[in-house]
Amino acid sequence: MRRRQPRWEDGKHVIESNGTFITAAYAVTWVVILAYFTRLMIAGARARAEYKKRVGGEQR
Amino acid sequence: MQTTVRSAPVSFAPPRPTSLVFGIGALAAVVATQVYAISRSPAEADMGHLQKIMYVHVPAAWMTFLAFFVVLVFSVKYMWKRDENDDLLAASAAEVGALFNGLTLMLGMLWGKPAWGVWWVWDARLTSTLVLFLIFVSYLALRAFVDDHQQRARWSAAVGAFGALNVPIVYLSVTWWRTLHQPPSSPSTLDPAYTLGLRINAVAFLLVMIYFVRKRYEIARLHRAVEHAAEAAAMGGR
Repeated sequence: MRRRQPRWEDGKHVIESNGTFITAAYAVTWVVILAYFTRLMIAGARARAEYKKRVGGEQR
Repeated sequence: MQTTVRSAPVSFAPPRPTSLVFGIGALAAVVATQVYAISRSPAEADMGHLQKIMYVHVPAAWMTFLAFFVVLVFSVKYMWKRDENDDLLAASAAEVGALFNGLTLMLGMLWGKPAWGVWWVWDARLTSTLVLFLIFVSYLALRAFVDDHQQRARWSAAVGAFGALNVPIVYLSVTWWRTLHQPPSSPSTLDPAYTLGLRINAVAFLLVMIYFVRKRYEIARLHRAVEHAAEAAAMGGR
């Protein structure tokens, strides 16, 4: 007897997959992570320059 | 003319520069784990491929909780020991926690719209997560507006500890109240097909969070070292 195919194996789900929302979720994640990463890089370079100018010496 | 002081107080000698290689490695780990999870996990029975949002939403929520736990620990430690480094570390973790908290809310809305049909509902989990976010936005605003660093540190420690105490409420909200949000996602409540993907994505997010907090702390200490040097110069010039 042929096994009845579960509904998710034939690509039918209770909620239809929507690629737009999945793509948007990963895009938002990367925008947030990369924006903060870049912000830290810029702020770090400025803070180091300020420290060198005002305090002098090298970081430990 | 700017004053140059050759030595900063020992406790505010800035830490070693945070390794950029570690940061890039953490980002590469996120790429690798996302590729693995997206390509290897099957469509879920009810949600189909929408389930794949879990690999960013749940780790972001966990990193929020973890960052705010760090805030709690170092806020309490500051109140006890009065070491400014603890205040700076708590503030660094608070900023990163707020970042992940905001990301969690955005990802939740992007998951909620196709899954529930609405972007937002005022249920216990969503509302308590929003309240947590607003508390830590207030914490960051407080730090920006208070000039006296000792007063800023004391008030921040109080607000940070209070805010972090909301984390258990957020976590347990789905079991305490009837919510549209599902019960907590964890490897123990998941089908084995999704556990490895979730675990490795959480580890990759953890590496990113450690890098962010470490780098933010380094910047905060550099700023404080400059402030201390300026204060020392002002005292010496009297």
